[in-house]
Order: sequence, then C-alpha cells, then structure tokens
Amino acid sequence: MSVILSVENVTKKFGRKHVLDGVNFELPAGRIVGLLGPNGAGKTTILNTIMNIYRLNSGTIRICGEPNGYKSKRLISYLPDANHLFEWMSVRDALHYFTDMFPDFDIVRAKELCTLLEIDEKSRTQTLSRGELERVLIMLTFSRKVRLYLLDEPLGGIDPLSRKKIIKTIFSQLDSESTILISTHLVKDVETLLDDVLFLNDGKVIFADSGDNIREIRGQSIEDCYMEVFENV
Amino acid sequence: MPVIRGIKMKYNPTAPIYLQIIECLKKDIVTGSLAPGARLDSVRALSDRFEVNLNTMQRACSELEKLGAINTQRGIGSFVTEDKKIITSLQNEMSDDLVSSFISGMQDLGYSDKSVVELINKALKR
Repeated sequence: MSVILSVENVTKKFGRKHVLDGVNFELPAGRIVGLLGPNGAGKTTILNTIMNIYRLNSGTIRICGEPNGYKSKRLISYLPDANHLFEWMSVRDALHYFTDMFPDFDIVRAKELCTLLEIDEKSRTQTLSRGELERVLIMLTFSRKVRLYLLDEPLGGIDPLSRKKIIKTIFSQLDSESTILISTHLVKDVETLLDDVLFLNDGKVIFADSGDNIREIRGQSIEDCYMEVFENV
Repeated sequence: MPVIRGIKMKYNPTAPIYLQIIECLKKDIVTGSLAPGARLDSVRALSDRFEVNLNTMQRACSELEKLGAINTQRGIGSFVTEDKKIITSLQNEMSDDLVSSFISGMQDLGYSDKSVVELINKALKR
C-alpha cells in the first residue's frame, strides 16, 4: 500500500515553546484518519506544517514521497479552521475562483456537492450562517481531486444536521487513492467515520491505532479510549 | 433491487462496526428480506446506506463472503447465496446465540432450568 503522508521527527518551536516535539506518523492510501487531541495539543500546527505554511525547526514531511514545499501543495486540499474566502464573494464567485486557482478543481463534482449539501450558489459568503459556510468550504475542499485532504476542525460549532451532511460527504469522498486527515476534538461525532486515530498531546503523538482494534481488542469506543489515554497522561 | 430494511442503524460504539453490519445483513438474509440470489447494492451504495466508512463496509462484505452468505462475481456484483443449507446454518447460529445469552442471563438471576421453561411458556401464551 502506498504511503500518502509521512511525518518524521517533526519539531516546531514558537519562541522557546515546543509546539511540536518530535512528531512521527505515516498515513497509507485509502484511509480516513482522525487527529484527535485537546485544544493546544498542536493539531492545527501539524496541518500548517504539512501545508508548508509554517517552516519546520527539524524533521521531514513527505507527501507521496515528495518533500513538502511549494510543489507538494498541488497534492493537498486543505480546509483551514477559519474562513479563507473573500467576504464579497458569492458561492458562484468562489467556484470560479477555485476553478482558476486549481487545475484539479472539478466543477461537475462541485455542482453535485452543492446539491448534496443544499448550497445555494447565489448566496453571498458574508450572509451565510456558520453551518452553511462550513458546507460551502467542505464542497470547495472536496471538489479538488488530490491525494491528501486535510480538514481542520470541520465539525466545530456546526449544528447536528449540517454535521451529518458533512460527515456523509467525507464518506463519499474516500477512494483507494487518497487519504483524509481530520483534526477534531469532537470525538463522539467521528466514531463511525474514522479508520484510524492519532492522539496528540503537548506536541507528541501519544497513541495511534485503528478504530476496529480499539473496539475489538480493547472493547472500548474511540471516545472511551480517548478519555482513558488522556486522563493518564 | 433488494430492499434492506430502511431502519437507521444505531451503532454500539464499543463493538466493531463491521460486525454490527454483518449481523444486520445476516438478519436480512435469514428473514428473506434479502432473498436468495438477490443482488446486493454496490459497496459504495451500501456504505452510504449504513453511513459508515467504505473500508468498514468492504470488510463486512468480505467477511460475509467468507461465511458463504454472499458470492461476489468480479465486475458484476455481489449476490445473496442460493444455498439453503448456508442460510439455515446462519439462522441456527443466530438463534443459538440469542437462546444461550438468554439462558445465561436467566441463570445469573438464579432461575432453574425448569422455571425458565415455565416462564417462557407463560410469556408465549400472553
């Protein structure tokens, strides 16, 4: 099975603070992986280093064997935790913008997702509710055909109905060629979604396993396991 | 198209999800709501219906295939077995599980075999 993402001994310091402190993991193709941990664990920082937004202090990150950098970005579709669209844009403008920006942007898929997620193309991003905006961002992220999807807290602050639609969209996206990495602290909501989990605490991966192993061998839900692991750090 | 009961699956988060799907599909096969020889939806459509990850659904299907409950023909699709023996043995297995878990539950409550039978007869007459 081919490796989509490999993160080796990555450290990142802000001033003297080690935000990432020797992070190691590898993601094979065709998986949905949860990056779980409390606030301040370093989840967003990892995603930002994978995207080469932050420069590493040490270590290496490879995407499909390619070191991360300007070029590797074409392999990644990234959903940041804050709105990155211009406020004046309508959904339709955003579609045009993404078509211009990304050669892999699939407008047919985008239209499909608009229907699925009940997005009105005419609406302006400024006037959208939090849930609607997140659905638009999910639609844009998944309309690109890439090897690695990075989603930073796609479910935080979203109503249950929108959350369900978003989770369904994530399911429908998975194929054997690509991998989806989702950072969240809403462990319960992603219980049936995830193949594998990585628990991150204080800039370190403290636990990694598959959801089925947690349920089958430990007899726990992912949430129970999360509680146990984090209560004992 | 076969009809899988339109119920919403409520998953028990402490048990492997693929096993829970297998149980659900086995039930459909045993009760005939998935008739012998019926064609199963694609793995992707099933994963959509069960609201699970594609890998989980794939695993459930390949386990069912190992049990002989379904047969996959490459490029055509998966079909429910037409072998009555397999279906009957699935049914026996499932009823054995139910009965033995019931009996052990009753024994834990301190009932004798005789009073278990009496209670069942009484309940059935109701």
